[in-house]
Amino acid sequence: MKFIIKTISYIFTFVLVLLIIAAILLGIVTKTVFNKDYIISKLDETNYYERVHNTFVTEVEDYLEQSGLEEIEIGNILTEEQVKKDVQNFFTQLYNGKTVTINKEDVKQQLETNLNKELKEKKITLTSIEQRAIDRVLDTITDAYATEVSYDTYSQYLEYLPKIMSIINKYLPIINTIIYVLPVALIILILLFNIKQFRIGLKYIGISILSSGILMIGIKLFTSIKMNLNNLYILSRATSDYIISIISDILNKITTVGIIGIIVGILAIIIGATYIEKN
Amino acid sequence: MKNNNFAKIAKATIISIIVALLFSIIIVAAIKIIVGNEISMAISLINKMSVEKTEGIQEKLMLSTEKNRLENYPTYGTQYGRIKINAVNINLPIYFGDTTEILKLGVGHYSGSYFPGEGGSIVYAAHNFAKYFGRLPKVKVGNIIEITTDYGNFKYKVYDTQVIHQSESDKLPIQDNEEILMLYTCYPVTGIGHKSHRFVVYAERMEG
Repeated sequence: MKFIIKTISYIFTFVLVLLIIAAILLGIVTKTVFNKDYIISKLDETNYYERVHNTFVTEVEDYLEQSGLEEIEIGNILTEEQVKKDVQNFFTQLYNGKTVTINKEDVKQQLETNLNKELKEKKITLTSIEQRAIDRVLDTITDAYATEVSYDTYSQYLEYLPKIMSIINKYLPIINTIIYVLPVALIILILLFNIKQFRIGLKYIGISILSSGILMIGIKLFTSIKMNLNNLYILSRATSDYIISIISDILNKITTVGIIGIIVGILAIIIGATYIEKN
Repeated sequence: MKNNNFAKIAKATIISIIVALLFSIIIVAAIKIIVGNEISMAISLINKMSVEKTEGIQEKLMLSTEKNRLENYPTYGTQYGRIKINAVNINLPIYFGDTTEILKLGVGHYSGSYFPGEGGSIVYAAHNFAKYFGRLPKVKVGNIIEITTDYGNFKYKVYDTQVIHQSESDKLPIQDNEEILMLYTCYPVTGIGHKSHRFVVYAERMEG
């Protein structure tokens, strides 16, 4: 009978390891990647808006330079505040599961208004041919802006993202509930199985927590050794640094939880071991 | 007695820690068996998306004089040399590849052409902005073009310049009989909008 209880306890312990890991990883991801406020706070942290604005300005400067309009201040045509507004709108739409769009007509209209204002201030008059050419350039600038802010050029790859976010928003609360309830239920089961020797139950739980902690540290070490995450390049430098920042944050959280798990696990095991000694 | 108790507690603790380690190993082994291939592919993909941030030349390139070919080629998208045309004040980095992203950084090397020193056609392109190849149309026959790389320095003498239509790709022939350097940019270099012509500079190898 003792052997059966012990075997079942160890089986539960093993399953508990998996549930603890699932709960931790889901918890971290829920608070980070799936959290719109976190994502937007990271944009500020990595100076994303300023960098996107600078990239856009550099790109457009070259287009206008060869037209003899090099004295136009691109920053005045499109401000960092506008970039911030459009980027935040992009992420808000995305996290609400809506198709992400930048209204290019509105953007072009705004660019044209600002450009005309700049031309007037600099007392530059365009010929009709130049005006037509400027119109084509504004289309190019609008496309460049849409790409920088909402990755418009990659829309065929990104169109599935709102659908995924929709599904996540719908099912995440249910999954979270299940994932957090199951380990608690299993812990109660283990303790019930060992109700006469409570601290032995604690030993099994300690083993689960310790094993989970070891695996968390293992994830951190594995990614550090095998993956060149710090030099990741996705879409643009600003986007890459932003994504790297999020990944680093997640890995740091995993490491912290892993260390806590190892300490708590060992303590629980020692407490369990003291009971065994006494009995 | 106390020592005995302590030894028992220590033993029980160690056994439990070993069990925990064993569980971790079993889980890792199971993951490797079930999704090991997928994880390897994901790692490979992530590492392919990683680009070294240093702007300098990535690795030492070696030219085999025996085979007249580079022994190792630069990573696509990295800088491997510089081009100087003193007559028109051009001094720019050369990158392997000619994608839109690369052309934002400097001179792009058409990857279907040869490298300096390999004895074939070399094709470089850059935007017609003033800071890149905007002054290329001012290049004259007889001007010297210098290419510096970490595997050698090469000089070319301009023997011809032409304005070609963008569709005339036969005016940028790729061959391996003679080392010809061809530089091109959109033409005309002033004015805005789409350019249907290209200004091409042809230069032959002098020494290197």
